[in-house]
Amino acid sequence: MALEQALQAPGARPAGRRWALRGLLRFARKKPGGAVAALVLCLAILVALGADRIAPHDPLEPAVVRRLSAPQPGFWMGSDSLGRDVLSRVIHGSRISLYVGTLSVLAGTAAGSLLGLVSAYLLGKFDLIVQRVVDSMQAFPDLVLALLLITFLGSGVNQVIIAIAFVIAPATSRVVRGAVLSVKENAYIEAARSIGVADLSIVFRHILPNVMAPILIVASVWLGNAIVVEATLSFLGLGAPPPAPTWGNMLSSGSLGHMEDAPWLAIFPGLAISMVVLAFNIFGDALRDIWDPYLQGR
Amino acid sequence: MLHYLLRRLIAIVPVLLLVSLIVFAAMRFLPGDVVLALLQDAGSFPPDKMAQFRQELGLDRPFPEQYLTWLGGVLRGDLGNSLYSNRPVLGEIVRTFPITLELVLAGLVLSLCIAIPLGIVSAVRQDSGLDYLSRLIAICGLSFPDFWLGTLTILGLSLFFGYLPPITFISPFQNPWANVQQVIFPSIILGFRISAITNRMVRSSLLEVLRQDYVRTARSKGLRERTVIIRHALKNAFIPILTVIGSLFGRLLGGSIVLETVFLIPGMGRLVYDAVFKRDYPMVQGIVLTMTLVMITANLLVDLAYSWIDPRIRYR
Repeated sequence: MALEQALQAPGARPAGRRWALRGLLRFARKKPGGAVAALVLCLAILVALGADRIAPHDPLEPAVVRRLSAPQPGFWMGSDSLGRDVLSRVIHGSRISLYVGTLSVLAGTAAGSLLGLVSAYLLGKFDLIVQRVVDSMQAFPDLVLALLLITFLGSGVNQVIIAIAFVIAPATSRVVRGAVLSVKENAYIEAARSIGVADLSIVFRHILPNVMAPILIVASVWLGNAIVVEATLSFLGLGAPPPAPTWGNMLSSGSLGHMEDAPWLAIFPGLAISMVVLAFNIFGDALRDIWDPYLQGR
Repeated sequence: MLHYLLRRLIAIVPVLLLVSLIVFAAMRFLPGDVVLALLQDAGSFPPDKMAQFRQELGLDRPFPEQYLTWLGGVLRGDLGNSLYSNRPVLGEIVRTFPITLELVLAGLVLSLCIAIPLGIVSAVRQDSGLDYLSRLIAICGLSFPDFWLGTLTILGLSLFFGYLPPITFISPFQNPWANVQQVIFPSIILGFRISAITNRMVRSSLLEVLRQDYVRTARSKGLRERTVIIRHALKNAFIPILTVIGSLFGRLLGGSIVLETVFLIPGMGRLVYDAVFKRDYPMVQGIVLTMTLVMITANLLVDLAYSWIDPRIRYR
């Protein structure tokens, strides 16, 4: 009772904050690499959110007089073939990459989880049909599937999100299906069923919370990968249409044509993608180690 | 074993049918068609002429009829003609498939050459500096996009050695050394990217096996550490590694599309990329079916290899 009162009292907030802070400190002590990666990601998110204020120049404004100028004070990453500031374009490009990466993973894992949950819970013909469709989707190389979908949907940021989500969903559904098949055999599910709990409630209130760990693990693996796929699609000319700057299309439009006279066009956007994806992967690995005790130290 | 193999071969049929249906439908629903792509450079063209073109190519027929006609051809070994170049699709696949296969296999072999030693060192020296270095290399492999590594490689080669990838492909039978020069860099990039996944799996399964009683027994018998690791531990840790290798073919084929585009290699990856843009339906359908078949065959071979590695595994 006293504990409940303490939790409900106005003083409970600082205690919650302290608990969160302690959790963060424990995470940083156990996984210093993960903590550094989290800091890099926070920085990348802040840069993306404040791109308009941080970027020193307009990322779309051309200036013929300074085209292909090398990195120099004021233009720290040089300028592209239209004289646009590469640093400002890299900063603005982070918006699209992080937006596409996050939303496509959210959409893909949500759709895949739902499919896996329902398929494993219902089993029978529904499961059989869903699994064969999933088999067929997974039989396509990821990039070919994304390529076909983008060509079908047309180029654009939202279309890229849908295409990447389509690639993520089948793989997620497989993992979630496997986890649900194991969880649904537990005694508490049998007990819930025997007291007449509705199927929908069993699936979302009893099974879903118990398969959240694999769902979060899959999502953490895909976050970095989704950014690479987005950049690859942009590089192939299938991402957000120009002049919107994305890291992939900056590499595609600038670097190959000006390989020798302006190497900075190939170096900086690629470094930005690699650093953010590296941070996502290191952070994801650290989270996975903490969430999945079986993987600790592996 | 034979019974199992037959069952697996039969199970391939519905997957291939479903894939063929999905890719056929996807191509037909794409905006625009091959006639528009063909006439793109011809300026304005009378609509009745375009309708005549579509009729001649059979694109005006109902969807089920087009699909069944194409499927009938596939069953007879005829994948149709390219709507763009009018060359037989099968011929184009036969011409480009060995190029992609060379790239994919070289990438796979190089990835194993990187991943297995790094994974072993990482597991044997768990939580040491070497382990962290190996894991960092693996994470870098997962994080650096292949097209960026490809671009940087070409940039470095052209800046420091004045080398640019040749426009025409040289077959290994024509000039082996020139072929190696052409394929080695994309293969290393492909191998580096893929090695990250295999490296992690080697480390993880080896750590699992190294804790088993029979490894302790082997050590207590006085066997050399190298013999314990290679003959006792690695062999038993190989099944999950093989499973991962089987699943990598999708990534390898996807990576080949990007690297063939960057390094101007006229393989199947670049062919499918061009074909999608040109709305060359039979070409895309034929290549996707071939890629699917490669992935399914790789997984089947991996499954069959299980019983070779672990004789306790019996297929019925």
